[in-house]
Amino acid sequence: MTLALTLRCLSPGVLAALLLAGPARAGSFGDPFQAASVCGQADVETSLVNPYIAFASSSHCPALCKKTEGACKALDAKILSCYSSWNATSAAFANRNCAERTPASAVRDCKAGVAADQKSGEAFIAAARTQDVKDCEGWGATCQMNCP
Amino acid sequence: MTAARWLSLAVATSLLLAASARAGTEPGSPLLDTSICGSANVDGTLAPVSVFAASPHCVPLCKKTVSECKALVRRIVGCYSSLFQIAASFQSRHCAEAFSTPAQVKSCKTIVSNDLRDLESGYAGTRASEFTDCETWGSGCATACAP
Repeated sequence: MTLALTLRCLSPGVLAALLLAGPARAGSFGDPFQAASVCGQADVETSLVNPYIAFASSSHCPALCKKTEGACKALDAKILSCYSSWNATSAAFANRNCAERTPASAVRDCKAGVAADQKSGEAFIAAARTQDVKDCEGWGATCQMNCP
Repeated sequence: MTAARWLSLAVATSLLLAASARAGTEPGSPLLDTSICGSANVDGTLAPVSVFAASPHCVPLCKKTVSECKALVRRIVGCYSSLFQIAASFQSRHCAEAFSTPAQVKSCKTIVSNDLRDLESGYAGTRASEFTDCETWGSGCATACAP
């Protein structure tokens, strides 16, 4: 399965699991934020009306298609920004956990693991953003092609 | 309480999206799913309040969690605010196309405007309620800290 297809198939719950994946974060008090899925569904394009018929009967069809494409991107950016914030918060708690619960000699390794997890999460979010922008543009193009 | 409030918001959103149905033509807004911004019920997804009980920094960690909880609520409610405004914008444009007389167009736009105002009032209330829920979690967390 390609990365693009993988991203399209991800549910928010799976995304949350991916963000939490990686080396176990050492320590004991854990992360109070348990569910990244509170941030919603990033692939906004899948929640839009069918582009083949969306504005086909409107005299302002091209403009409405373009407006929808813009709204799709804007909402997607907001949702992914929430995931990014969630990821940073999770890492902040993990870092404090490293400092508090891990033997001093292992603090550096623990924090390095947290940093790697956070970077991995950000890379995943960036890839989702790229794909989602393409999806919004694809929706817009299909919508335009079906204008009268 | 939270679920009920979000349910009422969903109903209000449906009313907004139904403005075009009242106009009698194609859907005005292309946004079909009004739950894409997630759930502002952030405190409901937090770990148990005893999560920091064994930490010597328990109280500040509880406070930090409350702060982050509110920040997430703010983001999520802000996303819904954008969603509703976008939907209303499409509905208003649709009013102009769906009706032929200025009076009908004005009436249609008034309905959309009123629906949006009700939604704004609704999500302001939701944000306040969710902030209170974050603080309640924080109080429980602080209480669970070792003396």
